Amino acid sequence: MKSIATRFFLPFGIVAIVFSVFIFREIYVTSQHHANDLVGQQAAMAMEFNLAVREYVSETMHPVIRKIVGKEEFIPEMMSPMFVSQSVFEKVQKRFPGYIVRFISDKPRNPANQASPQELRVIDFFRRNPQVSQKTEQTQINGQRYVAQFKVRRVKTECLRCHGDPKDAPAALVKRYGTTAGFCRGVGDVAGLDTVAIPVETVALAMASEMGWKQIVMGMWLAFLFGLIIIVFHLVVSRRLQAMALHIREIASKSEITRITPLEAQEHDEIDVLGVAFDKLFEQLRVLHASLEQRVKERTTDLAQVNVGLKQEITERQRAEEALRQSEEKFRSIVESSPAAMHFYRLESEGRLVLTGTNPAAERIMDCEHRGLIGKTIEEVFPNLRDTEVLEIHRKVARGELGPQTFEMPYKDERVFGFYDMRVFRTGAGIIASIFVDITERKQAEQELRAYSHRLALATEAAVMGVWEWDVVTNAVTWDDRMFEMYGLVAAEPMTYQRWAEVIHAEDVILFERQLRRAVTERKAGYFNFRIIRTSDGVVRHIQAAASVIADEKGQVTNIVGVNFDITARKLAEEEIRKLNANLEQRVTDRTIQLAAANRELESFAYSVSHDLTAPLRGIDGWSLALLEDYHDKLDERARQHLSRIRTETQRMGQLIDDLLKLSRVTRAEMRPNPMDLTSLAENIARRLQEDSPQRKLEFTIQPGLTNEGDERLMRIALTNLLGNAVKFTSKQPTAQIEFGMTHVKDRPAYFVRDNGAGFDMAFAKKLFGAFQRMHKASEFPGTGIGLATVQRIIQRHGGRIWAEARVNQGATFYFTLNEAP
Amino acid sequence: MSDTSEPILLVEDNPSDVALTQRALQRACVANKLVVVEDGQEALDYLLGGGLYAGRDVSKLPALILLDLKLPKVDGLEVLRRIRANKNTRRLPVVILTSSKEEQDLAAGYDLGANSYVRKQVDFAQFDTAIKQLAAYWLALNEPPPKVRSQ
Repeated sequence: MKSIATRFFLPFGIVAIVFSVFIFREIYVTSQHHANDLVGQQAAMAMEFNLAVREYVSETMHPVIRKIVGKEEFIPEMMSPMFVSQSVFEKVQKRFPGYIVRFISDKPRNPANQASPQELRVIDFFRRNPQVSQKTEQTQINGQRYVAQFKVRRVKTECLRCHGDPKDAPAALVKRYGTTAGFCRGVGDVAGLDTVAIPVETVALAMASEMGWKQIVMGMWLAFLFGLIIIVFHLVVSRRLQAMALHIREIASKSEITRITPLEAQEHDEIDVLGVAFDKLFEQLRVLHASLEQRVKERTTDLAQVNVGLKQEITERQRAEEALRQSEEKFRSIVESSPAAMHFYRLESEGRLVLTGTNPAAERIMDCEHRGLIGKTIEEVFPNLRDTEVLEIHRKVARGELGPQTFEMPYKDERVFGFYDMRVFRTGAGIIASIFVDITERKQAEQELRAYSHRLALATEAAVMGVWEWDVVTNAVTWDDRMFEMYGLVAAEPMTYQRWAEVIHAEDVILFERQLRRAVTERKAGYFNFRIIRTSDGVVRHIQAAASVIADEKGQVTNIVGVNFDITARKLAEEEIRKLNANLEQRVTDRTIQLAAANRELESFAYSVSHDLTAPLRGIDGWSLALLEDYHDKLDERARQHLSRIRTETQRMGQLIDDLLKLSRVTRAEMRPNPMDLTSLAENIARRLQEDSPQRKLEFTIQPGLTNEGDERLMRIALTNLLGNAVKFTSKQPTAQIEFGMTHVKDRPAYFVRDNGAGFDMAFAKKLFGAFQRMHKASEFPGTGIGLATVQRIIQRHGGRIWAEARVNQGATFYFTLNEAP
Repeated sequence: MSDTSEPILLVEDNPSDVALTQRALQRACVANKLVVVEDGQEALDYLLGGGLYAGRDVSKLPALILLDLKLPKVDGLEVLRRIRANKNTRRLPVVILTSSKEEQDLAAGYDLGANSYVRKQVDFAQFDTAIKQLAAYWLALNEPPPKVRSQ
C-alpha cells in the first residue's frame, strides 16, 4: 500500500535535492571565477611592476652611468634593464615561491633566457599578429595550474645601440657577450616576451575550503527543514487517517454488528468531519441490512414448506412407475430369454384359438419369423395339428375345463420336424400359454445309447474282455458274464468288493486296493496289472485292468467302471523275450570282451613283430654283407651271387613286414574326423613325389576346392599310396599324366585318381585290393602288394567304397567315395 | 667334441645286433670304447653303480647311450625315465636305437626326453650309414652337456 506521506514526500524530496545540487554548483563555479580574477589581477600587477623597473633602468640609470663610465664601458648590474629586473624579482620569488617573472627570447643574449617550446609558440603568435601586444592564458607548468600573462617586446630605435650593429655597441658589451648574441635586430622585430605566471592552485584551495564550510551549513539547514515537514505532516494527517482506517477494518471484521462506536472528535477539522459522516452512514446501512435479512428468512421458510410437499409427490409417482417398469421388464426378459418356446393364445368365438404373442425361442424352434403369425389361428400356425387331440386339450384348458396339461408329442410339417415336450396352462379368462421344448436330441440320444450298449456287449464278448463296475457309495460290484468266466467263478452268487479281493493273488492285493483308492481320491484312473488265482483250477492268471472314473456334479467319485483282460499268454511271451534279451546282452558283453582281448593281442603281436621279427633279418643281411666284405677273396663268383640273393630276399622280407605293420596300424588306428582339404593334401603329396623322383617328368592335374570330412592322417596314407602307385606304374611313359579330381559315377559323386600308365587286365580287378596281391612282375614294378589293401581299409573306415577301371597299357583310374550314406 | 676316453654305452640284448653295431662303429673309426650291457637293469646298474657295477665310479659317465627299447627285465623306456629322473645322469645324450616304428614308442620316447630316435633298418648298409652319422653327430659335431656337479 502506498501511503499519502510517501506519495507527497518523494517528489518533494527529489525537487529539494535537485535544487540543492544546482545551488551548490553555482556557488562553486562563482568561487572559481573569483579565484581566476584574483590571480589575473596579481599577474597584471607583477607585469606592470616589472615593466616599470626596466623602464627606470633603461631611461634613467643607463644614461647616468654611461656618462660616468664612458660610452665604451658596460656594467650590466646597473646598465642592463633585464639584469636589474631579474635580480629584483629573484628577491621577490624568495617570498612567493612558484611565482614566475622573466624575460625570454628565441635568440637571447644570455642563454639562460632561451624560450621553451611553449613560449616559442606564443612568440610565433605575436609575430603573426603585430597589432596584439598582450596575451593571458591558463597553462600547466611542472604539472601545476598557472595563469600566465605574456607581453611582447618589440625592438625600438634606442634599443639599436646595444642590439643593432655590434660596432656601435660598447666595447665591454661586445667583449662580454661576443658579436653574435642579441645583435643585428631591426626596429619592430619581436625581441622577446615578458612573462608573468601565477600558480592558481593556492588561491583555488583557499576558495574551496571556504566553499566546503558554506555547503555543510546549508545542507544541515535543508535536512532540518525537511525533517520538520515530515513530522508535522505525520502528526496532523497521516496518523489520524491510519487510526480511522484501523477502526473501520475492525468493524468490518466483526460478524455481528450491534453498534458502531464513533470516533471521538478531536480537532473538528476536515478529517474529523469525514469520520463522523462515515459513522452515520454505517449506522443507517446496519439498520437496512437487519430488515432485509428478516424478510429473506421469512421467504425461505415459505419456499422450503412448498418444496417438501412437491418432493414427496414426485418420489411416490416415480416409485410406482419404477415398480411397473421393473415388473414388465422382468416378465419381458423371462419370456425373451427363456430357452423354452412360448405361444400365447386367446380363445375367441366358435372356439378359435388366436396367437397373440410369442418369444425368440419359439422362432428358433419353429425356424421362422413369427411377426406374420400373430393374429392367426392355432391351426394356421401348426397346420398338421388340425383335428388332433392336442388342439382339443388346448381348447379345454382355455375354457377352464382342464387344469394345466403336460405331454410329449412328435410333430412334422414343411418347416419343423421333431419331438416336443409341451405344457399348456391358463393365465386369464380365455387366455392360455403354451410352452414347448425341443427334445429331439434327447430322444435320439436315448436311442443311440440303446444301440451303443448292444454294440459294446458284442465287442467285449469278441475281445474276451470282462466289464466291471464298482459303486463306491454302496460298495456294490457288478460283473458281466465274461468276468465270472475269467475268474472261474459261478455267476449265480452276487459279486462284492470283498469277494473280488479274495480271489486276487496275495502279493498283489495291496497294489490292487491302492490303485482303486487312488482312482477315488485323485479322480483319475488308468491301467494296472495284477495276478489272480483262478477259482476253478487254482492256476495263477495275469490280469490287466483298465478303469475310468464317474463323478457326480460336485466332482465326488461315485462309480468306477473298467474292463479286465487275461494277459497271461502275453506275460509268458514277454518273460521269454526278457530272458532271451538278457542272454543276448550277456553274449554281446562276452563277445566285446573277447574282441577287446583279440585287439590287445593283435596290438602286442604287431609290437612284437615290429621289434623282434626284424632283428634276425638284420642279422642275416648284416652277416651276409660281412661275409661278402671280409671273405671277398675266398668266395667265388657264385657264392657271392648267392649271398647277394640272400640279402635281397631278406630286405624284401623286411619291407613286407613294414607294409604289414602299416596295414595293421591303419586298421587299429583311432579315427579322428575333421574337415580336410583334399586338394591341398594331394598337392602336397604330388610335390613330395616329384622331389623323390627328380629324373621323372610328372604332370599332375589336381582339381581345386575338394574338401570332405575325415581323418587327415589316414587320408594322407591312402592318397600317398594311390598317387605313388600312379607314379610307379607310369615309369615306362616319357611323360606321366596323373589326375586327381571329382566326377559322378551313376549319379553319385566319386573322387578319382587317373594315370596313363601300365594299367591292368580287368579280369583281375577283384583281386586288386587283397593283401599281397600283385598285378605285375616284381622285376617290372617293385612292391609288396599291400598298398591297395591299406587304401581300401582306409576308405572303408571313412564309410566309402573303392574300385578301379583299367586296360592293359592304357592307364588306370581308381575311384573312391567318402562318407556315403549307408 | 666329446672326450674319446668316455665310452659309448650300448644297451642291446641281441648279440648279433651288438656285433653288427660294433662292426659299424669300427668302420666309422670311432675311438671311444664300447660298453655293452644286455638288459635294462644292467644298464641302470652301470650308470648308477649297483649290482655287478657296485663300486664303479659313477662320475665317469658315457659320452652317448644307444638304447634299445625291447629289453629283458627293465624295458628301454623305463631305463630312459630313470636316467632322466636321476640328477647325475639326466643330461646324458640318449639315442633310442630300435626296430620299432610304432607311433606309441616314438611318442613315449620323445615324451621321456630321448635326444634322438633312430630306426634299425634291415638293410645293413643303411644301418651302417645310420651308425656312422650318429657317431659323427653325437661324438664330433654336438657339444656335450656340462657335467652335473655332485654336491
